[in-house]
Amino acid sequence: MEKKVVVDKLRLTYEGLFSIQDLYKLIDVWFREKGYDKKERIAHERVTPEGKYIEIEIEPWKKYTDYVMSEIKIRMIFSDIREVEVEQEGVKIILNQGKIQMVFDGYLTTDYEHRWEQKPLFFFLRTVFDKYIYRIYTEKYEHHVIEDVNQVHSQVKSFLNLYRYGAEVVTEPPTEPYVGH
Amino acid sequence: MTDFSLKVHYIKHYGIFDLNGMYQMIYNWLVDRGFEVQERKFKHKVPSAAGEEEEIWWSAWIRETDYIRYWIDIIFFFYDIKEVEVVKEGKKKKLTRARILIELNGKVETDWQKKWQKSAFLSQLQKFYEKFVIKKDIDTIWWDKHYYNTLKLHAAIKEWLDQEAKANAFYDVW
Repeated sequence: MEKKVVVDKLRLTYEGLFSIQDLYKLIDVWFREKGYDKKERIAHERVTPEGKYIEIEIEPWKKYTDYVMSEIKIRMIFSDIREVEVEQEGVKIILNQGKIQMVFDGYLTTDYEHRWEQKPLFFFLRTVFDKYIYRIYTEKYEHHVIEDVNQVHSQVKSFLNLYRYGAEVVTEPPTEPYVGH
Repeated sequence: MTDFSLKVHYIKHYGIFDLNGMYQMIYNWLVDRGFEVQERKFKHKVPSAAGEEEEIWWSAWIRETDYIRYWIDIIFFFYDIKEVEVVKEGKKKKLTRARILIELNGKVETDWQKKWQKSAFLSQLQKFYEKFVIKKDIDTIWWDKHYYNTLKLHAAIKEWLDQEAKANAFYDVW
């Protein structure tokens, strides 16, 4: 099995209002619609004095052929998460406020069934095959992985931008008394 | 006899929750779906100032066909366990504060009755059968079905712990 990094640590950071549940659902649904299989390596949640700390690592995969497979790794870290009540279009809703750090990686895995690793000669042949014969196809699949990572990245970005401009009033108690003129 | 392992999933959590309720929920989830459940290991460490420590290993299996058997292995690690009293809806309730690590694993076992192990010829024939005749079925039917059912248990545990990321868009796969 050979794993090639095609997208290396594409990052996204955000601070403000959002809904963790909706963001998670968006990513989950996106991968399902794109034909990926689900794998959630770690789901970590803890309560800290500053708010909730949530760490999620998902590794969805998609088999293109019996030989080539795409894997996308998304690491999401939500910190200082608190619940706030927000008024959106006259309706009060509960949202989360805090920081998000996301890291996207894309991999193209070849020979994932380890068929060409049983003998050194097979291993050698596979490398030659990958490098010179199957290269056109591998490159095509690499572009698919890059496209998928970019798409999910921009989906998340657009989703978070909606919150940036969507929320009208945050009904949290003011920290300082309002002084009028 | 061959094992096709599923992918491992981990759930980590720190907070206050109903520990016995969680055991009961997981046990019921498995039993309701026809699994036989066995507690293979129970380790309890002498409490320290931080709290108690426990390690529990569960194995659950179900016969899918005469040839296929599904396994789910759950390992619970609990650290810093302390009982706390919480007032919920005007009623006092005893809950647990702890750090949890749940490892959810499983496998698809073929020829669990060892019918193909009676001779070297049958054993070789079984290898051929699994590699060329039913390979696609194992991958796309049995493994896939068991994997997505295990993911449903994963989602149920997250739901029980009331984690924020508890959605499962794959809920209707199988």
